[in-house]
Amino acid sequence: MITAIMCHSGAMGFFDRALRPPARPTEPRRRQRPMPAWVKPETEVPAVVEVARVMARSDRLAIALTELRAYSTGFSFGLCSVLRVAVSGLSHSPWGPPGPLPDDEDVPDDVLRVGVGFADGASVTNLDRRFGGYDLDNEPRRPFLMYGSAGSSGRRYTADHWVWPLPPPGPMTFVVEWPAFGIAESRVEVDAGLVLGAAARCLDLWPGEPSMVDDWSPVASISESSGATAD
Amino acid sequence: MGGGRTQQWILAADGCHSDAVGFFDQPRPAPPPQPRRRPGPVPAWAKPDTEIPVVVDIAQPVARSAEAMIALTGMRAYSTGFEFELCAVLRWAEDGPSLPTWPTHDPGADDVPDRFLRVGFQFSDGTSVTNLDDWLADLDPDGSHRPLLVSGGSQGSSRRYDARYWVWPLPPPGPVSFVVEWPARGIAEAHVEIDAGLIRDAAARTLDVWTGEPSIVDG
Repeated sequence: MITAIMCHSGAMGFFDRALRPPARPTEPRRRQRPMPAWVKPETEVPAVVEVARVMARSDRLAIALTELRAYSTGFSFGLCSVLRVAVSGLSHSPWGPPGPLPDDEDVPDDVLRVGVGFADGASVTNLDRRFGGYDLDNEPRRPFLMYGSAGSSGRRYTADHWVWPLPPPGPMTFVVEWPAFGIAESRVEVDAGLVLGAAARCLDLWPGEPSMVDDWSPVASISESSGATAD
Repeated sequence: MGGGRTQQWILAADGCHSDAVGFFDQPRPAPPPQPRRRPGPVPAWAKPDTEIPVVVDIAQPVARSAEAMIALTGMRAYSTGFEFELCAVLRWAEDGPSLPTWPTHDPGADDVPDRFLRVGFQFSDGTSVTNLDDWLADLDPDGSHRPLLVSGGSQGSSRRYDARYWVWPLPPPGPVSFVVEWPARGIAEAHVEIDAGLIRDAAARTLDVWTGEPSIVDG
């Protein structure tokens, strides 16, 4: 049983006002627009789906899908890989670089390939694009995969990935391949209904304050023939 | 776990100070008189390397002020302890660099910056642990006499900060309180209560990544 006690910080003391920033910035704000839907929501607490499944094992490494977290617009999934033998020292990282990948077709063997497939046939892998950041202006092809946080010790590596949008009903597939560690292409299927059901339970911490992004688009012109523009 | 000291702390429901010592204000236990030792490989208190943890579904808001909210976003049980994650989300994004939420705090120092987000747990046996504790000083090669709370990484933007922590050992049965305080953001000490049984039950179901078999749970 869980009991939750919310603590509201109510009226502040006379001398506490110095701690609080101004209610609104007084300088003119930049024009802003809502954060695009393919960016992981900033204000949401996701609902979790427990799907711990070992995806593959080799003589050197085992890799598992650890959990799914559903947001209103997409979901994240966690991967965990464990070396069979611990690596001592931190001077050599056994893990392939998760950063930008080369443009040509020869992806190094030590890069972990990750992919997601939806029941409607759409799919995406981490070789499709560079994980350089979100493109806020151009909607990406669906589904969209974005590398998230990662951590590693001498023996264990965990990585979180973000997928937009939510999947259609039916089976969805997670695929990994890691040639340098003897992991052939391996997949696990998860019922998308688990994610869709969880998405209905996610929580928006600031429902009245959506995330915004600076809007640098050109200002609309009222009459082109007159050449006049208006703010 | 040792220590039978009962800690009294009072929820400041209206943000005003009470006379009772706050959870994060009380003096932390002095470290035992032993030289600081570097732990050996895979110490007993470390997160198990080969386990697939079991999710504990306790995500919930914990505290808020006019300008910020703190929520528990996740918890995962291992056979010997648990990870938890929290997020802190501001009402409005702040201009400038990423949210400077966790300035370095020197454990044992007298002054804790107001901008430092305090987190901790109160266990049913009266022991407690916070991120103000000097956990390195408490270590013993075969384990620790006191619970440990270790930061496990974090990331942030101009509006949201996410942080992970590792807690050792598993909490004793009964209620366990997760406590936070964030003075600079107007969040007075607040807590949510969790049934330790949820964590302990999950800890008994972790899997070994190599065998897929249940991990051995240390009684």
